[in-house]
Amino acid sequence: MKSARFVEVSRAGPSAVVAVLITLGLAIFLAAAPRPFGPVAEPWLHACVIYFWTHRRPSMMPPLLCFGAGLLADLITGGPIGLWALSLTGLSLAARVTRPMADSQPWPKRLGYFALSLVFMILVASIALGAAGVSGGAPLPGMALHALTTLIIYIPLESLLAFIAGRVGLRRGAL
Amino acid sequence: MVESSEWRSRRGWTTAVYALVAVAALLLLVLDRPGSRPSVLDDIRAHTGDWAAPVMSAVSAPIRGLRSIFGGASDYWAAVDENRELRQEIAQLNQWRDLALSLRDKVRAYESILDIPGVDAADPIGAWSVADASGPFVHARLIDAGWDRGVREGHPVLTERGLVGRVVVVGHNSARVLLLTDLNSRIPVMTEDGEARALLTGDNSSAPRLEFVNRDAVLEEDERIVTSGDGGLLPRGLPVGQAAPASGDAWRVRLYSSGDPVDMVWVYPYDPIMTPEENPVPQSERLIESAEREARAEAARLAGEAAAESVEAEAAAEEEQGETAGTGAANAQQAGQGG
Repeated sequence: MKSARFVEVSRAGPSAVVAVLITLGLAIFLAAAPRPFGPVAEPWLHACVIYFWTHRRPSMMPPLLCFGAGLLADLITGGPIGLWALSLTGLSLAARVTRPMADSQPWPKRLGYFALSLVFMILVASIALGAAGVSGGAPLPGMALHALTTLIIYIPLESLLAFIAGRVGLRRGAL
Repeated sequence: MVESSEWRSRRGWTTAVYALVAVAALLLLVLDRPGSRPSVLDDIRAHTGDWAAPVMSAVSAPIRGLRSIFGGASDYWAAVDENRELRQEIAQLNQWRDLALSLRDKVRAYESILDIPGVDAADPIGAWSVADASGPFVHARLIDAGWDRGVREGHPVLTERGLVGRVVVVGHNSARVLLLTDLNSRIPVMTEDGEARALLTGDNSSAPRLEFVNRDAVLEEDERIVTSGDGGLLPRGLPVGQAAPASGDAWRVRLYSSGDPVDMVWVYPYDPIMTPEENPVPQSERLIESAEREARAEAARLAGEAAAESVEAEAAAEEEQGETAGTGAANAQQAGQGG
């Protein structure tokens, strides 16, 4: 007998799974790509993508996938292994919790919930860095700058991802 | 009711997975601390770098194209002014080149007189920076040159402006470069005249701190900072940046490489100078070398004596010849007078 999660993914269709994986992979690689105009605080694209898909359909963004995406980000960027894995998993958890409240809200409120989730993610990262004793802990001003650019880019990116979700027939679902 | 219990069990299962994943991530974080990192994690990083480098190269190609389009457009508008400035600069640089060439010859002459070994200037290895991980947690880059092209751990990496960092992980086709701005970066530096020496410490800001500056040293603003070569890990004299006062008595360094996007880089092959403890010369080898040195000195002494003897012999022979010729000439003169 097929498990509930498998049925859920099957209902969404393979094109939806492919869309989720491609957007996530692309976001991870783009987040690590060289910036065209010098050193600026780049947005955390992968965080936007994970938050969006978790809101759209939580079953499409299971915790293990978030963990794997974070691990890949850690390995590509050369940062402490486990940091992005933990941060993105924390963000996914926050997205699941805020989902019933943020659903069908106007964009400023949605952005507010995304900001809350990002704050939760930064807190998780800071606590983890401190607990693990990684050099110097988390540089909070730098993280705040990155979070700000992530917030700025979220709304246009959300529209783009919603368009992709519509094209692959992935409507808002309970799970 | 059945659906509700299924929902609850599903929720419980998801929570358990989240908890497990969090614990696993924390464990990885603890394992990956710089002091106690198992080598297998570095191997995984290197392999991932090898695998990701071509993908990152493909992803960054349009970004690079975008930059060249914008850069090209702005260059076009500024071309006339730039041309004029460049001509002036070339005229000035020609004078510097002549001076540099004459100084190079002079230094070579001094080196040969004093028997000082010169710096081995191996050909730099050019590479593209394909991934830029300058986030809040790490300042590193992935470059598309690795072990197969001669890149080794510890090699300095430069742009056309100056030092950007050093290689920390090497894969077959890629390498990870730790930038000078990274929290874990520590580079021994000095002022160009060598009077002030310090440790350049990254703190994830764009201008790293100068720490442990020697007490008597007087630093001045905009003074050139170069690598000191202390510890033998990096060559001496690589350009780093300019000194800039910070709050209090602290100093920072405005990096030459900051500001512009780092795209093309050069890795400078450099063999670090090993400390004697790490690479001791065995006693037997030392004895053999000492005996060889003595034998060479003895041979040189004997050769010198032989040469001196032969010179003396030649001089004596010449003298004798000269005397014989002088007597002959005198006899001939006497015979002439008698006739």
